[in-house]
Amino acid sequence: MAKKLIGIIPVSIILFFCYVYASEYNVDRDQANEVKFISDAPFEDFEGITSQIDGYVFWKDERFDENIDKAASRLYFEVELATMKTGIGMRDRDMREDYLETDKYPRAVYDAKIIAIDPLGNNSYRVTAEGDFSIHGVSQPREIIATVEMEQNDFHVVSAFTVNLKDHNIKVPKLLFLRIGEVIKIELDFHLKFIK
Amino acid sequence: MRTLSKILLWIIMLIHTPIYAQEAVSWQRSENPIQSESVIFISSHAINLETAHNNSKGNLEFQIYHRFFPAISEGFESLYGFDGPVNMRLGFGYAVSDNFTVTLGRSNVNDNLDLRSKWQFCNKVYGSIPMMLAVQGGVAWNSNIFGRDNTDSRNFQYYGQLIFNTRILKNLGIGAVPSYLYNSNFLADEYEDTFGFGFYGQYYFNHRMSTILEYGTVLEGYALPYDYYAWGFELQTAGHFFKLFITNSLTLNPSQYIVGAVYPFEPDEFRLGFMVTRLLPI
Repeated sequence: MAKKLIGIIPVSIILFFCYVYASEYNVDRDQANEVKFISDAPFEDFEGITSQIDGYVFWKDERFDENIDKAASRLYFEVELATMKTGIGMRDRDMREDYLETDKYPRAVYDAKIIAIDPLGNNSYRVTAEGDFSIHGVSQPREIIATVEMEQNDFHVVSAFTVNLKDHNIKVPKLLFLRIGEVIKIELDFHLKFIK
Repeated sequence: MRTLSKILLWIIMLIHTPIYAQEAVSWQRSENPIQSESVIFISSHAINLETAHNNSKGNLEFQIYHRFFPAISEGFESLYGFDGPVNMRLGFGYAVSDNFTVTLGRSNVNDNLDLRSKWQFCNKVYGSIPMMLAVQGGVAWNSNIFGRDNTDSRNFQYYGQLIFNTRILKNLGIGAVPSYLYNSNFLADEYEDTFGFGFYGQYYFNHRMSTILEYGTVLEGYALPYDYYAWGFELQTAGHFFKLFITNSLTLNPSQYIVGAVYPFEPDEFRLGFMVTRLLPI
């Protein structure tokens, strides 16, 4: 029995020092979140706007700074594309049915890990993530940079990146003989709330 | 000692349970399903008749409608009717909510002041069939009738309309609008009613350009000699709707067009109509 006890105690000690605290923040859906899809073309520029972003950030540490275990982090965000409004109902419908095919592919998803955190001062960080961005059922590896500002115990996230429609097998919409931009700019402005 | 050993093992396991618990992500996707709304028409009007479409809450729609008196057949001399004179209507429609609008308008036909409200009570997709339903009710005051006091009760007309919209092809929306008008012949000494029926179809070439055909007839009650027709095109751009069409009806407010038209819908009697609306977010 003494041998058993001798075996148990070191295991316990090792486990104790390996204790990992993890943090999780979810999108705060009660805040004024906004995702914009911006097409900038000479004859047909428009913005598709939705507040329907959801997801989480997770990392194995209590604090958030440049020293977290980035390899063990995960962030996952998704946007409900069918909720996007451009201000013209018919254009929304065409976009849903003809181009994004939201019945089959309802969400745009970014599933990634944090690869760099650079402090900007005043509780702000420049966060670089690397992962897969998926829209219209086609996933592409993407590195996306966001500015994250800590507000009390929550985060305010602002980011922007571009998506080439052809990379995701999305037809480029035409208006008579005019074409909209093949590259869409996506701007995100949303809030994360502390979960644990 | 065996018991002590077991207790120690349990304690160790309990201490370290948080390691595994903390690694699990608690986030779950919201279970609120995304409601599909039907998009059949994007303008609040076909030509004379309303659609069941309601502008978004807080939008003010400024309406400027024209019906040109001279027939197109008068040719260039009257610039195909554009020289006028003209029946004109100015209106403001405010979307109190996403499905309720109050509109105040005035046309120069008998200085007709028109106050109405529209409630869209259904906007859904049933299987693959989109459907929008609305009711509209209003009062019209013909405030300038020769030989009658302006506020005479005979100058007031009341109406109600049921608006049914659906789509039969991807880009073809149709609407049916049964209407009831009380005191439809407001110039007569006795009160008369009119039951009317309107129909329209609008084919969208794309989300900006479309063609519209509208027809209205009287089912029962007081009526002008002819059913009315209107056919033309709509262009939507940056919050504006422009509509240019030919018609045999020179009236503009519901209390006026429900009873039909003075002129037949024949080439020599075609008139031009032009409407422009502007959405102003407030």
